[in-house]
Amino acid sequence: MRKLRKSLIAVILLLIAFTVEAEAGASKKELPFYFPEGVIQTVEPVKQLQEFMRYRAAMQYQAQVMRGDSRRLIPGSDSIAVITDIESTSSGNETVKMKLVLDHFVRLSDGRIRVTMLDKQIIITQHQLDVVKKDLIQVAEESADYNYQYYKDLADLAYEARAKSFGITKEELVKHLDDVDPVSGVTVREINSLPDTVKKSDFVPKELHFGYNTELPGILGVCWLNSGIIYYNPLARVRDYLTSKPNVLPHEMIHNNSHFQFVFVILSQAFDAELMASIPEMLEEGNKTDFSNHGYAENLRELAYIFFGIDFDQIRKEIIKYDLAGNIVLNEEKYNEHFRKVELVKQELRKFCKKIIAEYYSNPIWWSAFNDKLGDSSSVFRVMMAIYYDPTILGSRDETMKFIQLHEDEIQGMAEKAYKISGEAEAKGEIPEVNKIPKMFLAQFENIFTKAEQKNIREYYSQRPDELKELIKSAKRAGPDGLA
Amino acid sequence: MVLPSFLEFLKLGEGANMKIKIFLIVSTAICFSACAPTYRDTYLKDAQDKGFNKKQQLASYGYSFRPLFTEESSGTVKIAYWRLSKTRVREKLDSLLEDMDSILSYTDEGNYRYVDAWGLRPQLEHKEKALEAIRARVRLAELQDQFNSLIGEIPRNEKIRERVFGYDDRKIFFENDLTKNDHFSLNAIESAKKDGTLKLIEEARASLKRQFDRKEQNPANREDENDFVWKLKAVDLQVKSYKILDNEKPDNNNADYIEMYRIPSESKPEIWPAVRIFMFNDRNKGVMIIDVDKKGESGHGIPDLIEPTTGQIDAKSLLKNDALMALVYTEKKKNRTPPKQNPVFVEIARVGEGPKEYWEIAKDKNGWTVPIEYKNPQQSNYNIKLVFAKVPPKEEDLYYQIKYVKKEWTFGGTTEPSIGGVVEYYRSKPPYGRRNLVEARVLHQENTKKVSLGFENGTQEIIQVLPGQNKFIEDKPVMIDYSVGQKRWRIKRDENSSVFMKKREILPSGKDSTGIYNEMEIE
Repeated sequence: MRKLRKSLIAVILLLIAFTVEAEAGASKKELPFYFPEGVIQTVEPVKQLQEFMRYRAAMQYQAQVMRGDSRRLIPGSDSIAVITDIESTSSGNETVKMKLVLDHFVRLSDGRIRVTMLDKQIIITQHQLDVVKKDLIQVAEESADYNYQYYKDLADLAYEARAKSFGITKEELVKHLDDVDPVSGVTVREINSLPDTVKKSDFVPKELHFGYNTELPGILGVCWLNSGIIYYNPLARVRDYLTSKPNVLPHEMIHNNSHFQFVFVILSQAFDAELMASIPEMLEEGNKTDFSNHGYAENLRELAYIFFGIDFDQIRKEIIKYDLAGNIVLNEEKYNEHFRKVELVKQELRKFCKKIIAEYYSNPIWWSAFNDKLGDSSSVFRVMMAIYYDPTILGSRDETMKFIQLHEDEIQGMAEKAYKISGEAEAKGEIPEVNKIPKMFLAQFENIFTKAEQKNIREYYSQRPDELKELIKSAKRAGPDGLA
Repeated sequence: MVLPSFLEFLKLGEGANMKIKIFLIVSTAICFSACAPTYRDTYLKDAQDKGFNKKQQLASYGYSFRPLFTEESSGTVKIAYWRLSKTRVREKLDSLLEDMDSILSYTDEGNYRYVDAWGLRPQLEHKEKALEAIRARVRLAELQDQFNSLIGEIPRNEKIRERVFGYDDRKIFFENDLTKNDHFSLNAIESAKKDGTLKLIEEARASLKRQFDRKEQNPANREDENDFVWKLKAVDLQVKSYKILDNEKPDNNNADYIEMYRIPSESKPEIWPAVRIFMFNDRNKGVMIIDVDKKGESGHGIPDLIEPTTGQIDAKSLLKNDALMALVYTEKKKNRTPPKQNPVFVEIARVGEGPKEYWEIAKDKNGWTVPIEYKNPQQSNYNIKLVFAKVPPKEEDLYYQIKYVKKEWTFGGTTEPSIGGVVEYYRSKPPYGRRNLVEARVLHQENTKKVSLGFENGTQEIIQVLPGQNKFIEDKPVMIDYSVGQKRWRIKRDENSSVFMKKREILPSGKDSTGIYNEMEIE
């Protein structure tokens, strides 16, 4: 019995809800040779999931899920590559033409085209090669355009939000943004961390590699921040075909846009980069699986639960009937019913997230610091939802707001207390005595030693508090005359 | 990075390393270390303790952001950015800059290879510059708050203080003109400047230049802990003390305002002071403002620290203050020197095919000479020492053989070496160079030029090795050792030549010091 329960939990993790919608007609375009036979396009929720599970099984090697395997590949100058006409400005301000690299497509000395895949090596025709290239160029253009249509107003919306914070008009703010600050030599826009007007080319990678990342099993796409390099594998392409509009490539293209996601910001964990990159693709009408299911959208699902009342745990309980040893039986009727509700939520969020993201980019430094304080990488989503929506989680707006009204003072008290405490222990550092050290010495310590040296010293003294006390005493004795 | 939704729990991190950090593995679990409580956890725990059920906890949590972080102004709801302190924003900038530095510096190979492989350095450095400019502004506003607090201009009421110390977009980015240096002032000093009663009462200057101040690891070769570079120390400071003089005979000579300027190499003081001290003489304390950034460095003109001071301060005490000096001359430690690239080469060196010794051959036909005057006019300032030849391994007799007779040149006496510590090596003249000695020693207690030789046939001979020609040693040395700077050299001539054509560096001898005769030297 325990075993059965365990496998059910696994199924719950794996699957979510789907509603049946109209199936899109199969495209008449010629498909690349690596597509499994009979691939279709569908926006019908159950069908989309069923089909993807099947394609994944059919292409299991392309999903890179083989593990415990140390395979590595060396693409190189023999990889077939093409410089496309698509402009890229994703890495810095340099404009280049996107290079499409087919990592393991090699033209042999006799003119034949050889393709190495993770389970086989085959020879393809020139026509098959042309179809692959045309298809990838098309999906790259479509993905960049898809993101652009969503984000083209971002700068304007961000200027509006920041102007409001400054207490000036947007026009007043905008007219000085390109001025150069005489002290630092950077523009006013950069000093205020405001985005530049978004261009379609900002999403286009410098190099789009069609290949594998064998060290990352299960991955569909990978972006190397700031470098302008995106990896996209055959299974990802098939998935993007299945959903009619691509999802994987637009997601990577948002990571790839260095104007949006700069490498150090990511390393500093300044915001939830994955959630940001999932908008709009996870909220796209054609993507029936990710919003309800994907870990990247977890915070957004909770907000939808609080403010729009939709309970994804309950949906999950109602749609999964049983697991017949790897065959999941769904309640399709419930599935359809619930997914219509999910679509309403996605539609609302798709519109509103533009405002949220613009607010973040209106002052990313502040929001990143605020995230640190709250210990929450998605605080901008929570604050904005709280400003613009009333919660409905208790059954309706009326019921929920009545409860809140009744407990308003308590809520405020708990909120103040939680805010005071949150994110504070971190600031005390590894040395408990740190606050007793005069700031001047601390600054000197930070200036004199490299970060690595500081870390070693901190580690040393955190193990030896008595020695640290002595050191502080002697430092104070040798300190500047007259300093307290 | 995109994972299919139902594959997400496949562990990404297996075998993960820096590369994976540089892709996009960003999870809230990693984001916030367990040591810092989160707003969410704290709030929900409190709500649970209050008896709220799960849904009520979430309802109130979601709503709590509205009263806490928003405020109404002119009928519109605005985000209360001030609820976050300027200090928190500055700390975030510090951590961003720290991360940027870790990417740009050459201390982490994984990082710099990523940056350089894709040519990202210029765009990252530009971004770093922008971040530094933002930090300077936030820090300035933060210090202004501290200054105002120290001079008593901020009320003690906690609510008011939170608002004042809170983030203020206008103040940070609009109101402070960073091209000026007037961000900190006291009314009394400003008025005295205007009416001409602020008078210079003390001026002092201190300077020091030390070429070899301290050793630091060579930044171009971080892998080798023993590779170092010398760092220069150059300090040149001017202090000016001012007093508000409203009568000719003040009660005391305490300064009301002090400025300290760094004087760079062009000997003009920097435009903006490195240290300013506003004194409150009636309260026996003051406020010190320090700018650690030198002219030409980012942040110059914008203070970095504010400290309260107690007691009277004058120019002399300031210039003697080592901790302050170190701070004013803080060296920014950005390691942006690329590591040394070792050339890749191939040389197959079979034993026996190369030379036995490695010498630098003189290009000039006159060969190498000792570039030091080390002999007195009489050429008599030397001690004699003997160097014995090794006993050949298979030879059974134990007679000694002199290999070299050394003239160890002195500064005049016997124990102080000559300039350059010059030692000349002479061959013995026949018949003295044979392996037929039962004893040979310098009678140094009597005379450091007198040699006693005992032969296998039982005879004994005492020889005084005087300047000029003599029967015991050849007229010209075969080798000479000398030092120049920190290096010691050896020059050598071939047996059939009179010119020293060969030269090589040697290590200082571990043998007896000048004029000391403890060890028997065998070569």
